[in-house]
Amino acid sequence: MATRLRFENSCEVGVFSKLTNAYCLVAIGGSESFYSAFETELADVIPVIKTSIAGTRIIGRLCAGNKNGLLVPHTTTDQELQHLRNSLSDQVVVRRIEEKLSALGNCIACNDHVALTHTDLDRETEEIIADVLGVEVFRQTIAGNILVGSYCAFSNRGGLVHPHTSIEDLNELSTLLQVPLVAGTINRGSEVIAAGMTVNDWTAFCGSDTTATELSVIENVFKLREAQPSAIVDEMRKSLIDSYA
Amino acid sequence: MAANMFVVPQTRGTVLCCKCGIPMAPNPANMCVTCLRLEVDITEGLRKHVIIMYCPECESYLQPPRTWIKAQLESKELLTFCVKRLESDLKKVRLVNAEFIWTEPHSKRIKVKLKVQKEVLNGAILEQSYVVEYVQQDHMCESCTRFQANPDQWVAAVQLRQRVPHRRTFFYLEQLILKHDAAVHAIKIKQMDQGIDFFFGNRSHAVKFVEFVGKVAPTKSRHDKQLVSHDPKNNNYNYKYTFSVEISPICREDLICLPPKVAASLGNLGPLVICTKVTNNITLLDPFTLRQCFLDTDQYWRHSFKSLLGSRQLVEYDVFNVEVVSPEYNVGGSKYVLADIEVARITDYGKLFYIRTHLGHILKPGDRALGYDLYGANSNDMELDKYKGLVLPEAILIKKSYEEKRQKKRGKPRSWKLKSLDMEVDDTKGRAYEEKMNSEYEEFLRDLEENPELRFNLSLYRNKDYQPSEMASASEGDDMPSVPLEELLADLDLSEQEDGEDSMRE
Repeated sequence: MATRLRFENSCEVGVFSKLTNAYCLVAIGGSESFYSAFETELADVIPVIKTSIAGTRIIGRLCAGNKNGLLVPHTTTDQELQHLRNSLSDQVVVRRIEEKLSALGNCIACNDHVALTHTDLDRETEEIIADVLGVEVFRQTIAGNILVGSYCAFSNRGGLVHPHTSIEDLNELSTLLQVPLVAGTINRGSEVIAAGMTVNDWTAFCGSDTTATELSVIENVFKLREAQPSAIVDEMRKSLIDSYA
Repeated sequence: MAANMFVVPQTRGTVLCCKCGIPMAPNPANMCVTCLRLEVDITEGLRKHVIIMYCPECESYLQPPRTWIKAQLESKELLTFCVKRLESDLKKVRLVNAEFIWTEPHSKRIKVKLKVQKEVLNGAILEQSYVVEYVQQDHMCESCTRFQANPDQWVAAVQLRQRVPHRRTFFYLEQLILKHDAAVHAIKIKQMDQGIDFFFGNRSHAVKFVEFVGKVAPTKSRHDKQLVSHDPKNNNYNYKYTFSVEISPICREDLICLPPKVAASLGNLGPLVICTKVTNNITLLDPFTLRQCFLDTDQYWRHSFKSLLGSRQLVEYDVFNVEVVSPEYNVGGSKYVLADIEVARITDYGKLFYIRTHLGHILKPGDRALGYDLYGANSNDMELDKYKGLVLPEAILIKKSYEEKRQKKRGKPRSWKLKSLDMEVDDTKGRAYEEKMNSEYEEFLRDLEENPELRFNLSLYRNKDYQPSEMASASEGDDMPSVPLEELLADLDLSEQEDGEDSMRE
């Protein structure tokens, strides 16, 4: 199910949170309500961790990660890094990377298998992404925008991209990602998809401006209606068996 | 990007409108136009009702603060005016189109449909049309109020005078004024003895008119003002201005005896000279030597001489014999030939005159000519007395006479007509005065026919009622001077009614 919420009167919830299939990072806000909204939805499945990155609250735009790992920018302090390592399970590799484009969340969009990155990212960074997150990396743009992390959001089941994406681009991207994609908007017509929402395989959090139409598009493309954490794990197992068989 | 690079064709996809969910091409607001309209009304805060002041007298509209603009309903000017009234609103939006919606003229409502554009919601430009209703409120403009209160209320009067016994100059001036629309601002025009009075509602209009007259005639003017009222608290003074403009009494065809000083300053011209042309310069011609001189306004008024004999004293002569004594000279655009000529007054054949004339080119034995009879004249001119030992010629011919030929044509309409100023005429002077005026006007018309140079500056209109008869044209011959058809202007007639009015004077 998709949830609508806001962070201190801002609808850009994707900026202040990072949701993956294995953990959820939440910015430290003035009130507890933002955190508790995540907590009620996710508490018994994955850890919800309150953190800052580089002393800021815009953690969703600064870090990138999936169930395999978490990449944080070089501006992250040692304490924050230590806090993240302590809070996350050992399966999740936390890695601080020396990349001059430090807003990793804006430059990298990924699910558990594929990552799209900013075209100007270092080669070493690209290797680290492939290593740590265990994904195939593609340098891409979305509707002419190089900040792929901002203008698209996708999980292992579906994705939402910038509304100006042409049909050819949409086909190319969905071939790369191997998930169905749809062009759409968030927060009553906003084009910055990833800033307005954060999504994993069974749930999504959207800004409270998101209209019912947008929400239904999201639920459809991310297949959130039938999704349950356990069902996902089952299906993944099946596919794993398929691929090893 | 290199030109030969492969470019993937881009098909615009569709997204769902974020409010109603219908598929649409993505736009900056990502909302379909209908939803966008519902969401934002760009005409909000723009004025839909405007009250405008309308002067029913002069059919003009008040452009605040004080200007009154004359405009017809549904005219371009009115639309400009209407849109201008919304100027403060139109700073917020961009005006794309404006048009009138027809309303009954007596409803006192003007409706204008405006189409405006405005940027809404992250860069989407929305276009919307709306109707503004203007309510006309009748409010008489200042000048109409003043006119209503007292139609004769004038601020400046121009008294145009010429101290001569005829009105020829004023007939000519009237045509010039009409041609140049010089007296359009005049409130009232009144025919006076020896002149015309023009009344204006504004001093500057009067000044402009005086300047115009100064350009077409040698004039001398002075102005005075009379204090009507004043407000010492506001330092407002209300004056009535009077401009007295005197036109020099020298007219075309006058015989002048130049004062010795003037004659000397013009290189011993004359002293007997004929005035051949009057504009703001006076052109003088010595008929015995064919010398021509110009006097400008200043030069004239410095000495301000009078004419010895005027056109009313012209006498008809019969020409018996012409002996040309000089080749044809071109003096200032007109041709003259000196000739010794034998003439006699038609009233008295007993006395033959052998005189010299400058009209050798047009006079033939048997013709009639008009001239000044110095032999019979009893002149008591001061200037003439100053010349001791000056031998006066017995006659000076001025022009050829067409009187005989004209007699046949008398009473027939002309092929052309003139417009006339809307002038107040004093009817109390009696029939004799009126007849004199009519005959002078007739003379003026003949002058126009005879002198192409004279009608050069005027607008002559075609007389529609005139039907040239076959008989007349056959018998006329080419000797009679007349106005060629191509010089005439077609008059603009808008309605039958106007034709019926006596706006034309024949």
